[in-house]
Amino acid sequence: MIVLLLSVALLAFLGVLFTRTVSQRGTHSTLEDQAKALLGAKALLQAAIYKYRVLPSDFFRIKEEEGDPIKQNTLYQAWVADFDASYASSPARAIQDSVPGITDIGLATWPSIVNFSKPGMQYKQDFMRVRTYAVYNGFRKEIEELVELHVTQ
Amino acid sequence: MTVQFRRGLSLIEVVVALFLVGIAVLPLIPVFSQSYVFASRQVDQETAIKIAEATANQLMSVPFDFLNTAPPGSQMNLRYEVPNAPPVNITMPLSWGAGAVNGSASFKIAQTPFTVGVASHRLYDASVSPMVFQYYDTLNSQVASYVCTDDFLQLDVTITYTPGKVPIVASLTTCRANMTQ
Repeated sequence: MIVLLLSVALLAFLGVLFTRTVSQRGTHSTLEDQAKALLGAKALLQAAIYKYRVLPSDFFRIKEEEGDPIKQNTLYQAWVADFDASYASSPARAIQDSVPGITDIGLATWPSIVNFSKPGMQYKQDFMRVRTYAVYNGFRKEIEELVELHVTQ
Repeated sequence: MTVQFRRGLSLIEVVVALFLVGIAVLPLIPVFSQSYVFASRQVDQETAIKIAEATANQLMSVPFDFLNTAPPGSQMNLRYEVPNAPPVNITMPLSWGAGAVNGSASFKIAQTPFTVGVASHRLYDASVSPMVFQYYDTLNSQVASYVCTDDFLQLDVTITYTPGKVPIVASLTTCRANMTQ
């Protein structure tokens, strides 16, 4: 009886060990896929930050058109087209194509602005939160960065 | 005076039982060694990905010109934190060749040799095929284009490690813009 119990316990232990070993096999590919997705998002973030740095006044113009939703949407669509991978000539598509396996990439959220500008200042000095995403093999990763904008009026 | 008899196991019964258990367990012994191989291989795989991520992150702080044109003397200092061991510090020389800036360095972590390879090439070349941004020109009421005057780099990080006889490669890709201006 004792030998039987010990045998059952030993077999159960070996079964658990085997199951856990098999389940560990997929862990590595998950980690690699997530890293690829994260770095894809980081690649687009670089392009997004660069655009906000070279065209800051045009970005502010979008925010200033809050009273005219139609015009604001026109400005917005023109701006975000660069981060839409469905446009063949967009930087987002080029970045997506540079990493085989990325199935989707883009701006995750419209940048929010922390407004530090004050009336009477000769310039605008704000902070903007840019958030991008990328999907690799079903894993979606997002990354964000705070960007300082400085526009002379 | 009463004598109590307790039924026990004879030696032959114990030997036969152990023999039967041995027959049942013997084929499962390879599971132990297989588990050990998987566990150690997984540690190497995770380490390789972490090294690749750390390298990609450190590439963001290297002077842009080093990765774009590799002027003479270009190099990058890499540092990897290792659990329960001193950090690994290596210097990777960067050089231009075959349309890209390349660098390579080798080191060991826990007896496993790793080789880090870095390749940087222009996804957008400002003088040949520049990156073009769209925006709405409110003065002329039309969508306008802004032609970027900086290169935009694609950074490829490749980690090669050899836990056994066959080398295994892990690679990551990201991009970098020129934020110096």
